[in-house]
Amino acid sequence: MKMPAPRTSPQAMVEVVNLHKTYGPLTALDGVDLAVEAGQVIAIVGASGSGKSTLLRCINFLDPPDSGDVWVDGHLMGFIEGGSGMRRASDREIRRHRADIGMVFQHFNLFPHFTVLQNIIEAPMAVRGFSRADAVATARELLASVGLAGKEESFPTELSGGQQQRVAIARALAMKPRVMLFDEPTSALDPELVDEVLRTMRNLAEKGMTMLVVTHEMSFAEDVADTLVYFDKGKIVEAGKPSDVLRNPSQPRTQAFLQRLLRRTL
Amino acid sequence: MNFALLAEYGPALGQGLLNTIFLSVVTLAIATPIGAAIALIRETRIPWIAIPAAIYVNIFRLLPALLVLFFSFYALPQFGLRLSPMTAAILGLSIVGAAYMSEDIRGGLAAVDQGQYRAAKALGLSYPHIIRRIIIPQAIPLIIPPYVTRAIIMVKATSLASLVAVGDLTGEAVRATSITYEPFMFLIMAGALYLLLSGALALFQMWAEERMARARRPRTSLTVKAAQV
Repeated sequence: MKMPAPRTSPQAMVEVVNLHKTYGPLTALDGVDLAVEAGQVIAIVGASGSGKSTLLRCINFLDPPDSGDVWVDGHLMGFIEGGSGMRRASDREIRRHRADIGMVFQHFNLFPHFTVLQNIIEAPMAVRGFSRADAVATARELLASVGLAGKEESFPTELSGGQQQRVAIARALAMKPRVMLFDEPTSALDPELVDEVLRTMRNLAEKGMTMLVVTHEMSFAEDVADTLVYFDKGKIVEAGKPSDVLRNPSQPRTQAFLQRLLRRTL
Repeated sequence: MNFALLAEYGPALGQGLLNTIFLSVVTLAIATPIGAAIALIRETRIPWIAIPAAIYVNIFRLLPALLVLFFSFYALPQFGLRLSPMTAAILGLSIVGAAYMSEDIRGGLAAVDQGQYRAAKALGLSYPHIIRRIIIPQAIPLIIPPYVTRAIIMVKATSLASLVAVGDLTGEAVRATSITYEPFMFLIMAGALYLLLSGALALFQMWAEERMARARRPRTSLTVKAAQV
């Protein structure tokens, strides 16, 4: 039985309460609290190894946290409401809730032996039980919306990195997720391909999708995100309006990080 | 070449060849699914099934196959289990072969990018579904080369069965030799027939690799063909 900690933002689409995660001697998350309202876009920045990606993997339980609570759309991840408290969710129950959370990876991770269309319809058919016709119709719509109409029968290796990442976004959206997690979605792309992916993400944000985006693209963070959080050593050390955090970071660690980033871009 | 002797012992060698083929086919047919199952079990990393599987593999991978064969033929009768030479040979060779094969198959499974598991899991797909639809199809091209090499080694290792009284190709060639004192002719004959058998497997390997290479670039090969026309 588990008694979840009280929530500060019970209506938030995603709320993380005092999340901890260690890998052996390494502390990846050291008490993270974060609330994301429905339709909000959160940009998560910080040095590599600061725990940003771990946070995303803990939210959809790809990597279950050691302790702390993850609420997604009113549901406590990893647990099921029982008679007198919360019991641990079965693997099947975790999978059902995980399917409500879309995830996009740095290296796209498309299934190379499937066509673009098969990549998109596999999970909706297997997990959601959609008919093939419905799944294909949804897939075609999504491909059109990410600017890849006509690429249904291509294989991932025939596409550019930017196109692959847009297929990966369509694949995640085909599950009709409530939240989208982006783990450095443009970090593996050639610079000239970054914009097409960011444009797709911006469209998605404008349509009201709740998004958590781990990124090094500061201009995207500033233009699109409602909130920017800065991660350091498994903790959120600064959070606020992106323009405020980027222009006037209050924490010395944030200042140092942004200065390094700025030097690199110049 | 003494063709009269060859004609006299030809039927025996033919029977030996058939026994070798039978032994090879049955051993491969048993060892392959067991090896695949062991590899999949070990990949789950669920301790109570993965650890016994690892122990099995490491015992039989590290023992001489001949010792295992001798054990199944000579030692099992002490426990009241008396097997025919052929059955004992199939048992011993399958047990050892499955252990080796599981390592080849596991290597292929493990070589599939871990990001594929993560992406499939994030979509809510179940572990069996991920293995069946995402991992195995990508692992097969990686498994085929070591698998066929292993199958060739196992076909050649069936010659050990001659030491537990199976009249296989080696057994018949050695018997003919010891009667006629014509080792050269009979061993060359047996060698040629083994080359035919394992050569067929090697050809299968080339064909399979060629086919998979083409399947992996479906568009390119089509465009190339179109360009040539």
